[in-house]
Amino acid sequence: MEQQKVDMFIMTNGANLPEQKVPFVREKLLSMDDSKWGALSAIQFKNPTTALLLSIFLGCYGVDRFYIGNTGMGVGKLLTCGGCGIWAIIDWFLISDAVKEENYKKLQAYLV
Amino acid sequence: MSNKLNILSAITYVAVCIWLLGVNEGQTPITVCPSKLIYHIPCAGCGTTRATLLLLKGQFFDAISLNPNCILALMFICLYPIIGVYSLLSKQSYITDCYNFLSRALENKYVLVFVLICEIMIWIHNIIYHI
Repeated sequence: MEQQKVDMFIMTNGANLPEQKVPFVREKLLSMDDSKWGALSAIQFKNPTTALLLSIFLGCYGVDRFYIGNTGMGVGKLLTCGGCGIWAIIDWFLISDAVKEENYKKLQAYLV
Repeated sequence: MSNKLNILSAITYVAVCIWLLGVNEGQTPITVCPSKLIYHIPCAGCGTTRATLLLLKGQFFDAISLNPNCILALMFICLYPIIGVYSLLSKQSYITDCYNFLSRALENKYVLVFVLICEIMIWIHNIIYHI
């Protein structure tokens, strides 16, 4: 894939991916052919800032976990009201990394 | 991930048992629900402790009418030690298998919608009856 396209992808989506995986993603994209560009640009990544805001204000209802696709944990948080608030507070610190990991998992399907 | 899950679930189980014993002995309702404390709205889980204690005393219908989630709580209280001990004896992580099974079940949209509808109904019930 063209370096310009790869750099544009990384600039647009780099913040949505785990920092330590960005160089690997860049290498993989450079080795891919241009035919996958359309599918790659259509990927909808979840925003870590949105997830953090949902976690802070609605975390006790599990909305943050539902947002990133962790339905099991979302239901668990809903049933326990964020683990009586404890789980909700812990997720304030974990949710950004969790979002980035989920985004990376989504991208991996295209990198293989 | 398996070890982390086992440790977290064990800590959760011990915390739930201590909580139930503490609330039962204390005889006074303690509000720990963040939704009630911050937004003054009860959540879908409000009343589960009281309902579970009623269920353990044999008052089934009173427990269900307070919060049907007590059945899930009781299943967790009864089944977790059995699965945990069996996992230890057979040196296999059945806790992780159960967790993965439940996660996969909830990924099915029909199961998820059913569970969410039930929880929303319980939530509405809690709001109307100020549980």
